[in-house]
Amino acid sequence: MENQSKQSASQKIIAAVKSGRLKMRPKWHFILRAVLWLAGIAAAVLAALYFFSLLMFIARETGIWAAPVFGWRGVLIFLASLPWMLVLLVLVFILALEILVRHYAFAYRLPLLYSALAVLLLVVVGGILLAGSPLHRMLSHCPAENEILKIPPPNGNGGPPCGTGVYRDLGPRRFKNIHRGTIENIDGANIILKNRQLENLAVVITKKTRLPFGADLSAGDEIVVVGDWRGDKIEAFGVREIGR
Amino acid sequence: MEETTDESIAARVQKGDIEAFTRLMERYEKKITRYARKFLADPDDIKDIVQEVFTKVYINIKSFDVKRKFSPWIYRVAHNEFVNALKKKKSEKLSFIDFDLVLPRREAKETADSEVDKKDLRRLLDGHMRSLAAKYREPLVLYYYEEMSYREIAEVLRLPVSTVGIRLQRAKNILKKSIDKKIFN
Repeated sequence: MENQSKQSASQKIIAAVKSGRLKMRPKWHFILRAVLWLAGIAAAVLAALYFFSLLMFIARETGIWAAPVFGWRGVLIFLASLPWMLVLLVLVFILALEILVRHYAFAYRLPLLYSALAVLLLVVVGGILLAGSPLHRMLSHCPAENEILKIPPPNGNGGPPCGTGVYRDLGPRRFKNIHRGTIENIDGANIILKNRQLENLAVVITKKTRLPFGADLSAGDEIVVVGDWRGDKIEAFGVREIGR
Repeated sequence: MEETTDESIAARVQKGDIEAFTRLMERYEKKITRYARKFLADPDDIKDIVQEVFTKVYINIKSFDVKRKFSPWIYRVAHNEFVNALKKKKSEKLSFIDFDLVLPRREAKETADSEVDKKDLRRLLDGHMRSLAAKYREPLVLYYYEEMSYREIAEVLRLPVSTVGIRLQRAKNILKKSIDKKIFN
């Protein structure tokens, strides 16, 4: 009886094959699937690299990476200023990449920790290299550090916004208490800072201001100022020089 | 000379030889049914799933690389079907994240159980298999019943070889505890 039912199961399949109801998938179907999988991996790699490098670029351009050196207040400002949506996007694409890569023997033969670290390393190293390339500067239309002082503001104090689209939305205008720019001149206890938007900002240095150790600030220096707006001035809580 | 390896028969199936597919089914029907029995209890469910496995094998046969071994490939197809069936039935707890996979483990050495040991173990397994979670049961079935190597089991389950060794070791320990408990009770 059991034999009979088994036979009928195989016979059913053979009958379905002979009648044409059951067909093999053609070879190209599997080739296409493999190509689509690879395309998915390539897209996830590019997206993860782009978003991670954008995160690095924004952190550098806005100066938020410098905030944690000013103690707990700096750390809080850093955390509050991080573009978390971008961080989330990076994590989503890293996760997607790990899931896609685990499909291949070279990945699933390894412990998850190793393949995840390899993916992370690829995104971090690639992202840092991409952030250092001219890509984001070109896309954002932001002037380079050494070009800021050469550009005259078109209408008085305010200049054109640095960046378009996502670069403007995620750029320095989001922040009220981190300011990056180049010193235009020093007037007593005040610093006139020219930022990426080509605006001139007055920075007030007080006794409480944490200044860079052992460095004399002078015109042309690139700095990050952490401090609150008070009227039309920034009361500096900390100043950090970049590139020294 | 008649072609006798699974791989050569699969190559003929790929070219449209229906008789060759009948031969493949004859070779694997008992094995896949036995494999299915370790996961499903209802004979009708077993019959259905075996039929589903062979249907999937036929549909996807052109994705099989004839330069590789056929048995891990067909067991992989069966494994996927069983996982889907268990998910549908919700009778087994299938964990989403498996911590055995996360950390690197020392490469487990393949134990050289004698034929007598394997036979004894198979007898014991029959009675206590249900006390094991699916993730421990599956490598045990593939190792003791289907006589696959750790590497082949790793290919079927898509796991690191070291994880296969660890799961087998843990499965044996769980079984030992279960048997001891039964004896003392």
